[in-house]
Amino acid sequence: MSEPVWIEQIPSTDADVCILVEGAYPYVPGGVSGWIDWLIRSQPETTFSVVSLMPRPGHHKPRFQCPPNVVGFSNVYLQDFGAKPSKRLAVPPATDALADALSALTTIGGQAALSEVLARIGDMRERHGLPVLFNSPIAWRIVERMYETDMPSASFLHYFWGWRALLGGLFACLETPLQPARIYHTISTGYAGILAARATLETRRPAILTEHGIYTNERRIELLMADWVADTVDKGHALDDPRFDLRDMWVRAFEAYARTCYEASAEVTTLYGDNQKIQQALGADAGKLTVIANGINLERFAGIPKAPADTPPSIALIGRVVPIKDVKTYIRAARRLKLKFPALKAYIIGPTDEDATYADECYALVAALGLEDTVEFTGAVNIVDYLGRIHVVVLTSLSESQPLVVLEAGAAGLPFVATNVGSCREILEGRGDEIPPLGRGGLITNVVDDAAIAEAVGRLLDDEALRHTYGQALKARVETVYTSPKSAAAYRALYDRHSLPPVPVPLTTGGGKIVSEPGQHPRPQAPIETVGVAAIAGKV
Amino acid sequence: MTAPTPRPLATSRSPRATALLLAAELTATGAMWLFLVWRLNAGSAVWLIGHLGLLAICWMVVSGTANPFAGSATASPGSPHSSDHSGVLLVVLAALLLGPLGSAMAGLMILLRAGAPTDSSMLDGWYQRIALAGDVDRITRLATAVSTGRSVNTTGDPPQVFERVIATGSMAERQNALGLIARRFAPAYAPALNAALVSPEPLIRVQAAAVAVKVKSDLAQVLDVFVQHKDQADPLQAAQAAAEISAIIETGLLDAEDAARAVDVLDRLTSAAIAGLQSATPDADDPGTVEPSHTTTPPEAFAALPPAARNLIATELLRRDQREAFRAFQAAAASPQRQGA
Repeated sequence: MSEPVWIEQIPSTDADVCILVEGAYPYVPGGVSGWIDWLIRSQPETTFSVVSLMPRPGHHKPRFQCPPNVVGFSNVYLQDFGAKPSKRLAVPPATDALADALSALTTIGGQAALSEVLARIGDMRERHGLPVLFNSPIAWRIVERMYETDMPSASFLHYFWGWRALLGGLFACLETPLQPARIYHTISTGYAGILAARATLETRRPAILTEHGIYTNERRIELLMADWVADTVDKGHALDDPRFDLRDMWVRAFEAYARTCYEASAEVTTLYGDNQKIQQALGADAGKLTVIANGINLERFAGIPKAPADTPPSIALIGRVVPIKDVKTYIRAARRLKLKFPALKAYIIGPTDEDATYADECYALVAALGLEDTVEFTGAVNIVDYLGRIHVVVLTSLSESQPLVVLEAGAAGLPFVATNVGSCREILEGRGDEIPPLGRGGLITNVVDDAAIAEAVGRLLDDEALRHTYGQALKARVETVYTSPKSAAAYRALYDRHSLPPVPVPLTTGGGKIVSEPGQHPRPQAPIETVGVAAIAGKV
Repeated sequence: MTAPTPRPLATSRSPRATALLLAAELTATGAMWLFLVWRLNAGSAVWLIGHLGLLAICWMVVSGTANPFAGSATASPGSPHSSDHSGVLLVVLAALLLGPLGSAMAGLMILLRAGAPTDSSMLDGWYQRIALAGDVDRITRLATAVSTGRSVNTTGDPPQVFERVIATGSMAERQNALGLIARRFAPAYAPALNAALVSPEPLIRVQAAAVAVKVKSDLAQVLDVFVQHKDQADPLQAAQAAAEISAIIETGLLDAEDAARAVDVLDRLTSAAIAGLQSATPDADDPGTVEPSHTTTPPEAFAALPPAARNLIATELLRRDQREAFRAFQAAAASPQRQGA
């Protein structure tokens, strides 16, 4: 297989759909990235461009071959925004109004707030460019005013650096040239959601949001626990102290961005019904919400033989070795199981290079527990090659949405033990309204409970008939509900619902520059990396 | 609390402008004097000049051109000090008593005073700040925010019980409580965390799982520190450390291997505390027993320890069936209030 090639300085062309994705495709392997690759390939008659939002430039290695129907690609770097400081820039009188608009966007959100920011920033952007503005006395005046408005109790020093990180990402999204497209499709809220909202305002094209996990909630959990966020206001143990600190600033900003994205999106989908309650709580209009389940290619898993019952018991965790998969709990469960099944083989099937520190901790735990002969890290491999040797597949994740691995194991007829996260229970046990009831496809346990996980897995390893029953039930459910053609058709229909006729005059010229629309000013452009399908087709 | 918006302070007329005005007035007076000397006799001229000068000075003072006594800078109409006429009266009085010569001297004095760097706006702002009577400037507000805005609000409601919050609180309260548990974990929070782990609300379960992973990792590091000090010989410190590690074990958040290590450390620390207790007998059969320190500690010294540590020692004495030592310990250490009384 040839090396994936994506990064080329080649002009993009019009696309039917512009996919906006943060911290995933095509660089980071995982469920969302794999799903985007599947989505693009499942719509061969649709052309796509991809905007990948990453923290900062680096030697990011694409993990996917570029599909033939991708006609444009660009990177946006969120934490690499700005230019050399410019002390000579005079502070115009409208700066305070811009600061107030930015306050509103980062604390309340909404399309009106974003529109106000874009309008206020227009002249300054035209005159100086946002990177210069972001490192000038104008920025200093803005940060002073926003501090006094939003967080006067907190440490200014900490606020300043937090503000730079927060607003740097926002300004990067406001500055980057838009890929021309008929629909803007964001995979999450957050910065990608802001970019989609901006696209609808500036191009008057529809945006759609298809959320897997709930981005805002994931960020909230991270931020509430993070040690790197300083607490500069001592709130004691009060849960309702109205004073805002850095942690509140970040959480509020992501909530505000989500509100903006939900409001801008013509339709908001998720993978299963429970997520809709969260979306509504975060400000999504119930009338816009729909569910489109993931689907998998059944043929890929159809011919996989069952692991013989008389071979040593084997289990597998299939996923990246990262904290959210809670691989350590899986290793501890393996230790418990080994007491009962001394010949146990416990595979960890997935890449280990995304969080090397965590992977090292897992290796150390395996050594500390004396499981070197039991636990095997395979790295990134084709799971089809392994499913035929496994008796039970295990998922110990702390958080998931609709994990593809459960569907893939189900398609291979393997029983599953999963923690009670995302839609795992719905997949393994079926929805309440399932007709006819297909039965249980596996066992659900609590999170972070290696004893319960070991007990559930042990039960299945002990009982071949139960494994067979659960495996067949899960296979039947996957074949009924979670197939690739069904899911692809649902996304095709989603695009059709929101697709507008082609624009007579293209929004961009060569190099991705935006030309003026009536009533709009052309803007200076930040350098971007673009790729065209012609170059990709020649290299891949 | 919303601080009032700062109002621009009154600006003073510059000494240069005042001097120019006075020069104009004196020029006009001089011209009048020359006219009178030329057309009338000298006595009438002197009388007229003196009183015209007096009128000029009075006009300047009243119109706010200069006020040598009350501060010219704030004597403009509408300013807080425009009703202060003491300076005017003094000038008029001086001129009346001293006649034309007095007028000239008063004029000279005005010139000198007007040139002096007196900025009464500073005094005005200072008076207002110390009296808390009016506008608060930006620097003062910032200083107040820094000094008082970051400390614990002692006037609010007392902290809520986390277990109750997890059971009945709003989503935001539950999420904030879990955030606090993650960042400031104490063994007493374990029931709340365990309840959150099995919450029917998926959002709470997911967050609790992330918190539990962090807490387990943190506790394992704390345990490492205790392991390093498991041979603690000071009975008081050993008792306190034993109580802390006992609380950690009771959380149920240690992994099986860590829990086994913790129990071993607890045994050693408890034995060290008992060995150092004057009234107790070291248990030679206890594998966790350490050599007693060369000086033993009287039970009264244990009264300074937290109740959990005292209870641990008392329970351990009972478990070892050292009833005599238990009674002595209880009498001396278990009731510090009575001791103090």
